[in-house]
Amino acid sequence: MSDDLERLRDAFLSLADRSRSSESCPPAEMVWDGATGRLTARRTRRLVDHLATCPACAEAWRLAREAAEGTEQQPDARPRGSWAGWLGGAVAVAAAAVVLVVVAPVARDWWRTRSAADVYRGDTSEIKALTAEQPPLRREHAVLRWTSPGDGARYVVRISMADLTPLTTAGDLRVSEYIIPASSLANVPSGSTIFWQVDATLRDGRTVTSPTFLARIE
Amino acid sequence: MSLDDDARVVEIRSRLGRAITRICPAWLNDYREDILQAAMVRLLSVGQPERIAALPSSYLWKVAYSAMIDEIRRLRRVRATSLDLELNDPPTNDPGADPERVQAGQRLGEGIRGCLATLAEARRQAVTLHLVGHSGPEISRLLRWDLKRVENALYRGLADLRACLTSKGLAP
Repeated sequence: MSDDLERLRDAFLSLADRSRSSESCPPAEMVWDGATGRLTARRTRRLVDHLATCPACAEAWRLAREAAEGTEQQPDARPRGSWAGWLGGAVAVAAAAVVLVVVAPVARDWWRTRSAADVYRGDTSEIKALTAEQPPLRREHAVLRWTSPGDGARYVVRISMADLTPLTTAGDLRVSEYIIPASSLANVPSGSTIFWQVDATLRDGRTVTSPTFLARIE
Repeated sequence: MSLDDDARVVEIRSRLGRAITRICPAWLNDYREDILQAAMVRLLSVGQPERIAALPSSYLWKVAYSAMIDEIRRLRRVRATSLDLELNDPPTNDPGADPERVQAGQRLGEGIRGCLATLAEARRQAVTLHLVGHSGPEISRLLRWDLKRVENALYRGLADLRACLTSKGLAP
């Protein structure tokens, strides 16, 4: 590749750092399908026209291309239908697509009730789980513990099933542990995985959100 | 969940983790755990671990990729709205890069974007795909054009792009 072309590529993609995705940006799944040759030619061309105006999506496309190359995944040779039509061909994948389109945004909303501007997540490692995934928690005394990101922090803990059905939310906690009420776990099947996440509000007003942790119920 | 399911969840998580490690840009290293969790949430919502384990590997990679892109988009939204200076610093592959050179690159990038809009449709599409890293044969496959048409569009499109940039004083 000539230096000249390399400079053009670098310059074109350098704008991604300062650009934001917008409502008109395609979902990430569609960018993946486009970059791996799974869209119709017409949809691909429409998507490429978007890339020409959107540095963030151009970068996303490049990342998809590189990732697919890494997996040695080649565009498949099956006849191309529409994007939705292609997905409709496989029940499992279609179900997954429904989950991505319908459930994922709901899940995100549930886990992230605060606006992005209010939440500082620059260092999510500020909160670590002290309750491990194993051994399973006893349902009559299921204690979740985590590290404190600072003195005087107050916490909100959200707990859900693995399918994201909310189990309980506890707020205004002043200690970095929470005992899940047995009543909240009454309908949780034995051996189930639950998800939990902590929001901490620090004295200076900052909010720190933990990663989503996993735990098992005995 | 049965013990078999537990083992499957561990295996799925491990596979997802490997995929995310491979595809994440270095500047996202601090967010890998978040991306992994988001990808797990998506996958576990599909159904029982046995069913997930039977999904094709390419689907797992797609979920990992999608979770990563969503996290990148979220971080950029936060950065754009945050007053926190640290978050306003754009990630860069080369923290030691000369700021003037970075700015010149961004000016050239803006110029390219403006010039692409002026190209004929086929040339614009071929050049755009070339700029994100695709070779002629790859573009041919993606757009379902014969290679000759792609090479022609690329040759003329890149010439048009360079002429446009030169007219803007942005010769590469």
